[in-house]
Amino acid sequence: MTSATLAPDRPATRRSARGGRRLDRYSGLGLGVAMLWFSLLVLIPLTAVVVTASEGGWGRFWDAVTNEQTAAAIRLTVGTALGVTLVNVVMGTLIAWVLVRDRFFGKRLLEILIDIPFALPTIVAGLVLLSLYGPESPLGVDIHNTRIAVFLAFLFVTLPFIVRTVQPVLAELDKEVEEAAASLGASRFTTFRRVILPSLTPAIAAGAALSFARGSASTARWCSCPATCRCVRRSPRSASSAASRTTTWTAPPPSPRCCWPSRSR
Amino acid sequence: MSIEISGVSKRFGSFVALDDVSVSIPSGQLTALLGPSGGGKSTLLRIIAGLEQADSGSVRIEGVDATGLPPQKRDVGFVFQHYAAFKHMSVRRNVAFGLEIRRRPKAEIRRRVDELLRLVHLEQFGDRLPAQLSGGQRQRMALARALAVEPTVLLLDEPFGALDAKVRKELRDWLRRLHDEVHVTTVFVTHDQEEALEVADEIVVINDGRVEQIGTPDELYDAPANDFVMRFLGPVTQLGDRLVRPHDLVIHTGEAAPGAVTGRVTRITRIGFEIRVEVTAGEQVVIVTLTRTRFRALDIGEGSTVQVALAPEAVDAPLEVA
Repeated sequence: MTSATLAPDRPATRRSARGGRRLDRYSGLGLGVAMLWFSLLVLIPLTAVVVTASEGGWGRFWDAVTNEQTAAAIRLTVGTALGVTLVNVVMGTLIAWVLVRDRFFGKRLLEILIDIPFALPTIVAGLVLLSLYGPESPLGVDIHNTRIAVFLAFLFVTLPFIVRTVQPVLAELDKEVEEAAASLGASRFTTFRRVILPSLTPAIAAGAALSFARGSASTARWCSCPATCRCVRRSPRSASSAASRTTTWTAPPPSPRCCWPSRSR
Repeated sequence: MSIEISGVSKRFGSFVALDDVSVSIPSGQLTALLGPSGGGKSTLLRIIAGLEQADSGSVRIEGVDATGLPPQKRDVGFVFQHYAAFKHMSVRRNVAFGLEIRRRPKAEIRRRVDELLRLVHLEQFGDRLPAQLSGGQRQRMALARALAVEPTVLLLDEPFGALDAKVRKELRDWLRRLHDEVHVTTVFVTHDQEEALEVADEIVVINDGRVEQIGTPDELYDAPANDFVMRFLGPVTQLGDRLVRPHDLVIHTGEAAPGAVTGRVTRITRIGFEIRVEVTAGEQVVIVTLTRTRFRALDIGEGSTVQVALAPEAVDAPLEVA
């Protein structure tokens, strides 16, 4: 024990619990605008969905959900979205790491390219993928009309999510923390596992949630189209029209004719 | 000698951070690396820790050549200016980190962590997260974390630089006493000459990537090797062609004595217990600091004509032509 004296430690002051403050005029106005906006864009359309789905009564709803095609669609949706998210967690973190920590030729370009899947109309992406890995593949890889193709298409559209959520957090990470771990004897792997990864987890989780949501939304949309559902069940390559071929590749509205229920009815 | 640095050079691009530096740091002492920002002292500390690789030269720690060793194998404890706390771990887990890496038995880790938390006065704070501690507490936690693995040398990089003046003084004093008890060879980097003079057994003055002087605080203060060291260690003023300390000058109002300079008082400022008198002698402005009692006894005001002379046993340095 040291005999040195230090001023008695006062407990660190804690901030008062969040949201404990009552609304004043301005925050009330802010909340009002936020709620109105949210209602117009999300709440009302969502309610409409629920109302429409329950129009035929519980029995019909249950039939629709448990019907073989729907079940297959749900399985495919959740399965593919989960798989895609899993791959993204690993690859997205890796890409973010490379972008933040390494300096190499073409880094700026890669930074821009990462966002392309966000910006590109998905039908364009689908066509590109189809021409690359389709029947006329210059690479000799033909996976069109298979689940692998679906998987690949979703990987493409969801790629930026984890990269973009992890990147800023990684950039903010204090390099000294890693140096401290190293001087305490931790190997690079241990430092990553015990020091870096715990700091990244919230960002990875947020990115994964977005990626999963995007993935499942895409599959769902895609499966509302009968032509695609056939290929989900690995039908013979009957869906040979250009439009439905594209469907196999792209997640989002492959062709207005077949995928927007409002129009097809 | 505990740490033997010989011929170490380091460049960052075209910037020379260290230029052929050789220093021996004795065992069991508290050594300060003192110098202005950007002078290379932190780089030297990081080279000792293995966090930076020297371009040339060698580092030996306790007789072992550590030049090529990674930081994990050097057996040094490092404390950073901004604490480098593991934010998601409690104070206890932070302190235990090094011991857990070394796979020590759980009971031993618990005992050792308790002991260290007592040593740094954080025993009630073990379950807090670093964010819930004050700056001074965080730095004490970082110190306990570094000491936990019983390093052969403890390296501190501006350890109190991010703290406010009062806490800094307190911790400085406490570090000195802690060192008297723990006796681990300690090297700390600072740009605060008062901190170095107060705490260190030995000071290495580093400027522009070179060692300017090595010595005890007394040696440095009483016999500065050059005008840089003299300027860096305390206030200076110029009298004729000598560089002197303002408190080593005497003022009198009598006859002009040999060696004294005659001038007119142009400004009088009171700073707490001391009085600063500016005397203009020709082109030169000489600053003299006096105690209040001495000032009152002199009975001078702005405009008075006075004699300024060097007190006997005053420290001075010839002024180098820049």
